[in-house]
Amino acid sequence: MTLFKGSRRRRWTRHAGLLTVGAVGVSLLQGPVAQARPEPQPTARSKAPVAAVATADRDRVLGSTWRGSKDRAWTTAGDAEGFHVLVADAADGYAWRTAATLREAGFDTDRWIGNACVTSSGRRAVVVYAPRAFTNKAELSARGGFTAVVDLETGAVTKLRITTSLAYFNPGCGAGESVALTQEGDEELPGTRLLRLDAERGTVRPKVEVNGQFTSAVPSSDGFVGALGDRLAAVSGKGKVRTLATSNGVPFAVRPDRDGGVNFMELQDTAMRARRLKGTQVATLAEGSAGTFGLERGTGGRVFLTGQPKAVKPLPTAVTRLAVPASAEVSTTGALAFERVMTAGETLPGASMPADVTVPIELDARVPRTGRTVAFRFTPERNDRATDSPALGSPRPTAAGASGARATADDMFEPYTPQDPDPWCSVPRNDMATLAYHPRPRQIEWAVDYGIFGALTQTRPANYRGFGLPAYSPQGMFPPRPLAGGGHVAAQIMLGILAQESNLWQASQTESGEYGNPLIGNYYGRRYYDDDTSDDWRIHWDEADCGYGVGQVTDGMRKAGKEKPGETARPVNHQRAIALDYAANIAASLQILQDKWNQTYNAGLRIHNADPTRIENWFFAAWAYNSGFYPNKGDGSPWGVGWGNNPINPRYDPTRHPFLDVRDPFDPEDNVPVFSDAAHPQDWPYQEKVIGWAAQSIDTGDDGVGFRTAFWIGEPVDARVRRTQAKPNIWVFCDSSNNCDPLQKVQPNEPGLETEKPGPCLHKNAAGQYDLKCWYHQPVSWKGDCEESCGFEGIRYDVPDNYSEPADGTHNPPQCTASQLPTNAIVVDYIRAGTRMPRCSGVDPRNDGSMQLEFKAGWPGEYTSKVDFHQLDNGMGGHHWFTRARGSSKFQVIATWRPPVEYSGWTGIYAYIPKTGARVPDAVYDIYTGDGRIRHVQVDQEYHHGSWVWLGNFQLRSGASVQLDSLKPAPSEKTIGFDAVAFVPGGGS
Amino acid sequence: MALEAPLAQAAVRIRTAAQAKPSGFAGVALDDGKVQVYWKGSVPAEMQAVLDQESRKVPVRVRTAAWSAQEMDRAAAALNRKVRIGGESTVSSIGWSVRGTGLRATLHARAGTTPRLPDVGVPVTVVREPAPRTGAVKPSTDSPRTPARQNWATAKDGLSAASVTWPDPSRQDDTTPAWAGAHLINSNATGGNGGWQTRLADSTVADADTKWHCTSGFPVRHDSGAELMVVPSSCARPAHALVDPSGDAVNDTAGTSSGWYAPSSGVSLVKPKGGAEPFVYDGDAWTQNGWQIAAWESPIAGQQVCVSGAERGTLCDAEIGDEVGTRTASISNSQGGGDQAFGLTSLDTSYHSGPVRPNNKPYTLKDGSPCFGFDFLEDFDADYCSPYPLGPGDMGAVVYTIPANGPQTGVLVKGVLVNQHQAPDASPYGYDFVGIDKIAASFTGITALTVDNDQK
Repeated sequence: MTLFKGSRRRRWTRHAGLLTVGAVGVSLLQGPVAQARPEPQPTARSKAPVAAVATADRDRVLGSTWRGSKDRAWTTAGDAEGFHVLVADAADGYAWRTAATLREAGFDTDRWIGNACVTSSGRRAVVVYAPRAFTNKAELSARGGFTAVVDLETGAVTKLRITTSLAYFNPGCGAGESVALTQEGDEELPGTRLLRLDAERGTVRPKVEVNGQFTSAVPSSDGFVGALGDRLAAVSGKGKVRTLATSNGVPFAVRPDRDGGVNFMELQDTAMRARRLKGTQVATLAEGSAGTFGLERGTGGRVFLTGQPKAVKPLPTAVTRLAVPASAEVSTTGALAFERVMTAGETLPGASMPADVTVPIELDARVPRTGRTVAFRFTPERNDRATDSPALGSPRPTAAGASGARATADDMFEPYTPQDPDPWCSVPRNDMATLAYHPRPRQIEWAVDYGIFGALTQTRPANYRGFGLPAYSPQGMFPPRPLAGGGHVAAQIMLGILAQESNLWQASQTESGEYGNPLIGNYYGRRYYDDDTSDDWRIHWDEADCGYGVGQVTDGMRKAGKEKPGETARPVNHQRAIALDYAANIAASLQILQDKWNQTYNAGLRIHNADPTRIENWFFAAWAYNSGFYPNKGDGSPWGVGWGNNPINPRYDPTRHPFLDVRDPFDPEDNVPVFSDAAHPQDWPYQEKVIGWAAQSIDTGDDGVGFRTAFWIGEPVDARVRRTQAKPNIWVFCDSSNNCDPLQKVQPNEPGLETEKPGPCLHKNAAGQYDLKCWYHQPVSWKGDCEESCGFEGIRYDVPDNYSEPADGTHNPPQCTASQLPTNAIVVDYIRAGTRMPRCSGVDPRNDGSMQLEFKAGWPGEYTSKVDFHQLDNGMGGHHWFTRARGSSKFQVIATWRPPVEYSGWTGIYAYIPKTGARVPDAVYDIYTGDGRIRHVQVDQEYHHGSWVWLGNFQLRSGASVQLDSLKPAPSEKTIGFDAVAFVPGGGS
Repeated sequence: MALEAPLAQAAVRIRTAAQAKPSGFAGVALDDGKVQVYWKGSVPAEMQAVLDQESRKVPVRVRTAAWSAQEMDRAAAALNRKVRIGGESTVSSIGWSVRGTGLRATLHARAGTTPRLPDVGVPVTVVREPAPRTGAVKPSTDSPRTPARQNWATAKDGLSAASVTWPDPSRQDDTTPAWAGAHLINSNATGGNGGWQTRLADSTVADADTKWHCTSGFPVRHDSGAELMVVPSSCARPAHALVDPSGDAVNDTAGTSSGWYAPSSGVSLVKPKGGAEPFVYDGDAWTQNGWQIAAWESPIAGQQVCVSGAERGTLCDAEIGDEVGTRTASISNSQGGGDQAFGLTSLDTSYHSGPVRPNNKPYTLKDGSPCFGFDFLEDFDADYCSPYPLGPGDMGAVVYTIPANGPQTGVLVKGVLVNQHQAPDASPYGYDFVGIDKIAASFTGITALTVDNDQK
């Protein structure tokens, strides 16, 4: 597990000026290859970091007023465990603590991401959070973020019944405890919905709909203030829009102040201004280059001007100049400013760490009052005192349930089997005969390196890895498509897509080498991206996405007869191979990507010299891989790649730097990519993220760097700048060919868009109305010398060298036998006779009694408890189950182990705690000895993981049993594991 | 509670180190997520090293104490001696706080003018027990109780108590091997203690009988191999015959030892028939569930604990008070007398949640009906049910914590409840228990009976 920086809404300050740097002349022959992926190195620091300013040092460092200070520093950080809200108070010497950890159950993610703001009182943070993968879906990114209020004093969390945008500007805190929440629209659902949250009471007013794209919303006295096109606008509580001021470009960083002013930033080409509206007058506060300064928000209506603007006008009293970097985060009263320092553990996104290891966070802080600096280092605690989210809703009978539908045989068994009887996705979850293998990154890279050359043809023998398939080869099953124009897919583009899609995961909840359920995108058709979060856990089989494995292959992955419109189900064996075998999945993913290349290439959407081995040239194909391609109908209607991923779409921070790039490519000493970008991927279009991963790789905790990165050639600085320039300027895809003009602003007037202010999209519908369908379909070149300046792929496994498939991962080998127990032990496990687990292939399964699982239904006929129920292969006998102990009866799972019914006598009872998927400290094993009393034995599963834990000696009578109930531990998101129980006649110890 | 476990462990280590070489040490408490160490004067270097070591594991804060433990202990003994010499009968207890703030003398609520206490060199704070709530059923030891009328079987509103039987086995009808937290009745008592109640035909609540009710404390292993049960000395002596509510004999009176009776410590040992098992009942008065006992751990001020009583069930909204092993109080016993017990630890309770009446803890009466459990009996219960979370029948309840981290697979025993502040007319929100260290020191040859040494 790796921690990543949170996403306080200050990221627009990052070195955006670099984007405008012109082409750099370089010499191919003279320049060494750039160190595109240096080893991560912690920034050199002069002082030993501390968790808090020592008491003895506080007067000197913080100034004598620290005792009575109300100043509060805060930040956020995301990892696999959740999205942490971290605070530190001046009165405590800025001792950092975790106010809350936010997450929702049932999502396979390596990282939770989000945004937050703190209310005017400093008491509460409003947080929008989501799994990283939400940024891959336009609708999820636009309005799918879970939203909560965190009391920074008590840690109390109030989860709201709504989901909102993951865009950098949401949420928007204003005066008092009011907060603006935004639900963005998209091409399918135009307009913007604004909601006003009372953070103190946790109440949300009815939404206000605004035609057009309204961004950077903050609450005003009776509505909202934000950006609508190139103007600062007010929206009343009834949705009436009123222009407050015009702007050069879309206003952003909108900061109301205590004196009634509204401060905001605007960007025009490379020039940036901080401005302030008071009454009807707009004054310029500061000017400078893009990214060199910023406006930060404090509590009590404070606004801080940070960074180094070139010119600063006299500031109003509500705005304070702080001599801190533009990228610094500022505490509530401006008494402390800090920047995140990348630690060795933090620099590698996606790295999976052992469950009991939390990567510390390091901050370099400055105290403006004294000029002193402090290096903080602290480890977030997992403060996830989670209760059910309102997203879980409350049980409500369905029509079928109310009518008392007749029970079938399947209905009778359904509460007792982990499998779902009627999914629409083809390859099931929780089937012990359907286990996907989690590959090492090296294996992924091998498959990609071979696959792009069509060499992924190694024979998989019948029942390879226990997949239950006849013999096949990955690219025999999924042959590569020749690329239009020739050549092959650049390896790092495919790897970048896989990194973005799945974090290189093929299986769910696993580490490399392990087997588990296949990774499946929205298997249950959950509607966690609609407006109504009360139905997030409802099962809608007909809405299942069925994206499988490392490439999240969706096409054809539903069952025959259950296909999506226009879809044809793949053959069953193909579906199964895609779901279980990473190499087959990559072969299928390559087909899709190759199709996208051919589709865009043949339609004339080509980048530079259209050499497919060069990184930048995949901009269109990657764009289409994510959001599709609108073919040319030949009738003059819009066609090409859509608006959602257009770099000039104002939902993306206009001053963003290239995804994962270093902070300053001109500084040869700056070798650490800004991996915190991975914590807020919603700020970049999909194709820019793919290029970022291609350039910097991902690390899943195995094999060092995840995969060999792409590289750019030239003198060191030149090569670094070329890498930076892999991201085009935002206006490159906005020209006359798609009726888009970055210098113009027109009034969209298609129904629903009437109040949209002038913008760059000039396209009109058949009725002559501006409709924002500026879909792009022209060739593009932003590097004049792509042969030299475009990125090169890096091949680790050259096909001619005849590499064999890299060895399997070795994480968490299973406990295949009960050799630690006396030979007379009666071992009871879920493993059935005739079943062999992949990593215990030479061992007969052991089950001397019976183990039963019982699942509770969240709604009539819907076994919600199976949604977040999982299988893994590192337990006793090579298999175990787990779920999360979140304290809701809707997710309740009860396991019961029984020795042979006639068994009795003095008996030692042991429970095997698997290596992973068992972290609750308070699992309660109930011993039913048969004397009528129920004996509770509490087990810290994390402490005992990977071992047999002795529960005690008991006088058992006939019919004795042991039970473990997921509802008994304190509510949390921690896992509770169900594995084997052993009964040892004569007792144990 | 689980979050406090590492704090409590550190606090025990600190206290042990400090007491090994007494100087200015006053005591240790858990407060505000930290171990608070109270010290008079400067902390010696060797002790500072201990604190530094513990600080690396948990937050530790040193606070200034006005008085050291030695000073307060000596002064408390002197005050106790002088008050008794002076015949000051209105003083119900004397103790001192581990926070080093001095002594505290508690007066009965019925005391008239606040007495002038002798000067013992340490300031004495005199507090007066608040008067009990009007109308509440009151524990009684100094006057005969009125038993329930025998017509309760015709109770109205469907409360047909005659048909109600408690589960077998359960707290009310324990079996062998014996568990902690079960209902005991002393057959040799000379009077009742109001430790069990029932609902009458007119829906009012009264004492169920005139017997002496209490709770089995927790099991120990004796060097002889016998498995014994710790109970309050006020409840029973080793040779007293104990029965459960079904009338089944609970203990063997033969083969007991006079050394098993320690009234000055407030505890006694009895010998359960068929031995004991390291489990303590968990749940209401009729529960069949129990926690495994993993180990003993000394009490620490400020620690949240659970209490498992036979009359009112399990309560986990209790906190160890500031007087840890420092209280002296007079406790009424089953023979109609009183014993002065030393070294008691205070236990503070409150109750803020409940399914029906949030300010009162519902509990089950002998007839199976709950007090504070029915809206339609609210008026009756307001007058007749006890607002206090633990009753006289809960004396003997084991005080314990439930750790959630580490190797243990059960609860940690802190001690045994022995006294309700202060019969007959004081507010019983406060209680006294005997800490595990005091119990271990009161008897020779006993060790914890836990999962590790339980025998067939």
